[in-house]
Amino acid sequence: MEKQNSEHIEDDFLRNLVKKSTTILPSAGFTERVMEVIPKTNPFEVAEKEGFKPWYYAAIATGFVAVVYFIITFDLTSFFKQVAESEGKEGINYVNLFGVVLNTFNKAFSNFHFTSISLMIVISGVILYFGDKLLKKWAKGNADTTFA
Amino acid sequence: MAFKDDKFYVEKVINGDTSAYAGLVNKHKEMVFTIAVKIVRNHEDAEEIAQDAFLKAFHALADFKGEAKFSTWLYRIAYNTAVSQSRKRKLEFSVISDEMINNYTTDKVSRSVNELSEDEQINAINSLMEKLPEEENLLLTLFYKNEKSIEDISEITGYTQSNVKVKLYRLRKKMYSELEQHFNLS
Repeated sequence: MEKQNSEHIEDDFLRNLVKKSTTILPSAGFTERVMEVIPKTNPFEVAEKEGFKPWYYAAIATGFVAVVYFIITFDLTSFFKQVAESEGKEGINYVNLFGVVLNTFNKAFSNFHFTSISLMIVISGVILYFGDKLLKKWAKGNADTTFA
Repeated sequence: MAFKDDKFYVEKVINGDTSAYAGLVNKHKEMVFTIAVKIVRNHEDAEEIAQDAFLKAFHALADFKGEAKFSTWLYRIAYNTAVSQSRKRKLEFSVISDEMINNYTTDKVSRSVNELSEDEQINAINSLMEKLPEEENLLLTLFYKNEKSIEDISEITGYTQSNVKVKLYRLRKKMYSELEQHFNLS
């Protein structure tokens, strides 16, 4: 590989000669034309406001937990039984119809315990926070701010 | 016109005074335009590219970490914008053959050039630089005319510093070879 030290490219004669080459300048009013397309309002303000907002993530986490809590506490079997009773003998017996599915769900959800709700809030909050960060990073990458 | 440090304008812009960006444009427009015009060789296209580069830099200003010099960072944006525009038109960079760059005589060339009048020297160098491929023309301008360091040129063009040195070394030889031919010295 051909490696050159700076002394092999330093050349006062060539430097002086190249300096004499005509400099082509942008036309008059170039700065004004650039400034016309530059936003007058501060676009960086929005980015600053988008910092970490604990209440925002806490609200979403609480909502998420509320939905999970509803799903866990909702007794589909009892619900179907009530429906069957209200419809009388001619009603469809949903308990028998979806027996296998209901049993599977019951087994799955019985593994959740209400004592772990605080842990769930923390976990869901953390997941939401980092998920949000990842999404923003991805969106930013797609916005083509790279110049390479 | 005396300009303040780039950091002064950058902080003002980020803090909401977008009109302060005009200071950066005024300070760097000649260099940004030079980079663009050397690559695309068309005044109107170069202005458009320079304007585009300034706009891109403005929108990315919040991401500018200040690790690099603002000027180098901006020139890199201008260089990439110009190169990507040129690629659309299949810009060709020449390969310098070793045969072409051998056996030059700096003394002989410099004596001949110094015998010329100032205007003749300007015409000669303009004519030679015009014949150079875009990238070589830019490298020559950045290093010898604008006295940018190897490190800065490396950051602007994305070439390694050794690569920049090799290109400049070959380019220097080529210039002597071209000057020899121009003055029928060979």
